[in-house]
Amino acid sequence: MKPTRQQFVTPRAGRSYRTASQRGAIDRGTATAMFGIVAVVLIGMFSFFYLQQVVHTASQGADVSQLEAQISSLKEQQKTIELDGARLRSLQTIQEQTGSMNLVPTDSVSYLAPTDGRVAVLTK
Amino acid sequence: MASKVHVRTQILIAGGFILLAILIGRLADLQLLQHAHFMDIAEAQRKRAADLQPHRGTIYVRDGKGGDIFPVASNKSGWIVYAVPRNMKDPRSVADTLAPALVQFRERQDQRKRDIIQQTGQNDFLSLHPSPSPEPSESLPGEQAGPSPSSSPEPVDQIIASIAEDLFNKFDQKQDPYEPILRPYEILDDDLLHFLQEKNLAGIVLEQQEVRAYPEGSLFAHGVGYVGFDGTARTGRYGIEGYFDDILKGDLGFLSGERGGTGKIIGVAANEFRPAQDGTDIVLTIDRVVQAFAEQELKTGVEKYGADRGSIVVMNPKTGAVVAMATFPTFDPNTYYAVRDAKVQTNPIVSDSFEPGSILKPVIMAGAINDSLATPDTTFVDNGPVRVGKYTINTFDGKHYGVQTMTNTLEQSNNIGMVWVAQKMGSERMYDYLRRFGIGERTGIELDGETQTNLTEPQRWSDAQQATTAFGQGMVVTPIQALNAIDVIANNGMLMQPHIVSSLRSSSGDVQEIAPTTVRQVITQDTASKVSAMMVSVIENGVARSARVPGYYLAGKTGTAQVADPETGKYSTSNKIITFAGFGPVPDPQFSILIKLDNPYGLSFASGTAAPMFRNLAEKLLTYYQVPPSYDASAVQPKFQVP
Repeated sequence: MKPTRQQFVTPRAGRSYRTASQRGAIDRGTATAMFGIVAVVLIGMFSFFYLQQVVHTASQGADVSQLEAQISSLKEQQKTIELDGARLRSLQTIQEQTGSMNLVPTDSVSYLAPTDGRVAVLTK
Repeated sequence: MASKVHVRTQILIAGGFILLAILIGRLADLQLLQHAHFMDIAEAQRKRAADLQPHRGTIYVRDGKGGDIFPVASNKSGWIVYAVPRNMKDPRSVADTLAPALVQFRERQDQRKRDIIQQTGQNDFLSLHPSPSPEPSESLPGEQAGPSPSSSPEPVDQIIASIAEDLFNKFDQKQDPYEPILRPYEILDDDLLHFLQEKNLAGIVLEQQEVRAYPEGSLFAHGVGYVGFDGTARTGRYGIEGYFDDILKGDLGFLSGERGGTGKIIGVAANEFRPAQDGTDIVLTIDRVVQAFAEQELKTGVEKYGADRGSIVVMNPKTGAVVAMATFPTFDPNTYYAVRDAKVQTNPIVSDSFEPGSILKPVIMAGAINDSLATPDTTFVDNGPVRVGKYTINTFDGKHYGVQTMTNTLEQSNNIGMVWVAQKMGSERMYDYLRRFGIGERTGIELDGETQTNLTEPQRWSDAQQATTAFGQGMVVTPIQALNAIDVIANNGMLMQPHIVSSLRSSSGDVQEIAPTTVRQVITQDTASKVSAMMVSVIENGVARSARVPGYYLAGKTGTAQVADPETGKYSTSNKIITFAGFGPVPDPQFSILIKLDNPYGLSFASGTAAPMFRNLAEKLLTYYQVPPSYDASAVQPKFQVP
């Protein structure tokens, strides 16, 4: 039966049917695809970040090794200097070096006994 | 036609499948069946593991005045060299190149050894102890006594040729990964090092190692000891190095990890790391200035009086700390192998036992006075030699003075007076006091090689032994035991534990101070005071006047003991041991000294040899410790009386 009143609704009949995706809406497939792409991108980004950290740490390990080698070398130098210092301060070296200074041994020592509480004091 | 093409295609496909099957089979073989083999190869390429060597602890002595500490044993880097024959293309050429340099190195080493033997007084020691072998364990395995350039009459060319041949025999082994070139204790000197670096010979490897260094040279050598080799392992020998070897050497660490292409450890890969634990540092009670005084005086005395050997010990009688410990002839721990006789490395102060002679008299006298059996003024009559059993006992000089006090007995070192004291005391009491004074047991001092002396049980003493023990014969002590016993008298009757370590400092920073230890009260303070005064009288009025330092009261006792001949079992008529034991200043002693001379020339007594040495050393110590005089030496003093 034909409608008597004018309708403003486009009748379904005669009009081509469009799916939600055709009308621009996101359907399940698209969402899945998008999710997959995002997931891959995120995984890729995290992987990249992780690899970068690993490489960075590994390269820092090399730097640490270098610094440790430097520390070891400096410690060796320190030990050498300490040993040289010990030899210079050894009694044998002192005796040899003072031999040329023409020092004379003390033959007597006098001890001063302060009297009346008066005493001359030398301070540094 | 179409069927032919079809057949060829099928054959091609079949061939492809067969090839694929072969490849898959090969892959399966490599990755599954031979998995373990290739894993091992890969790990061997990547993984590295090594022990981490700790640094050996340092040994320090003090400077009593400034409080500083000075290392007497430390570490340094030294170069060693060895051969890897499997890396040599031309072992003959390497041997011929190396031989002349090695001969020159040996010449320099031999000259250095001769100089050290001369400087340390060992030439004279050798003439009396002719035993020229160095420690055999320090030789290379299988090493024969090859020609030495300086000792061999052969021309140098022949020596070089002989050494070149020995080297070639070592190097001409294609699979050999290691051959030593020098002895384990030898490190390269500058000349040989520069030569090898310049030549850069294939198969000759230079390597740096940590070696022991003794910056003070022969100072306190017997007390420090040295680090030698037991096979290929370094080990401390004698002295502090030997006694504390376990804590000085520290603990090995461990490192394993994976290395990258450049050889560096990969930080993020799995690895195991346990750091090495460095050895503990040790600070001694030795004062290096006093040590130098003692060594100087000892060297002068041994040479002047023609003794075989001499020792001096200086202690702090109040704490038991050993302040100086010297023996001459000595050695240099830097070149410990530069010795003519290994006996020179032993420390006689702790390891040699000897009959103390008259320096033991104050100890016996203290026992008698402590038990109220005598006083300083108790008298006896000395009319001449006395007979005890089948033996006749006389004074050392054959003189007799009639009525004598106990003080006179010590002043004149009268053996007959001491026999009288021994008869008063009896064997049991004498034995008891000797043990309480520390005789017959180890002191426990922290030095390697301390001897355990034995004191015969009193039940087995004959009358003669009782008599001779009273004047220090027929029984043995070590020098450290003897001085430690005298220190009881100096220290108000208290026996202290002798010690030579002041503190231990671990690599983690912990410091453990070693406090003085009181062993026991042996005699009363009053007895100690009386015997001290009697010993002062020995120096002021008795046979030890040559030990007197004007202005100070020093206590002392001479000792001249006969030495038993090991071949005959009787006392030698020529050999003797001269000793002097003393302390001062009385009544507040700062130091005690024991001087021992083995077999000085001629008819020498302690009064003419060891006593003046005591005086010289005491004078230096009194000045060093800044001890003011007890009286005005320029004024006329009344004769010293025992109070």
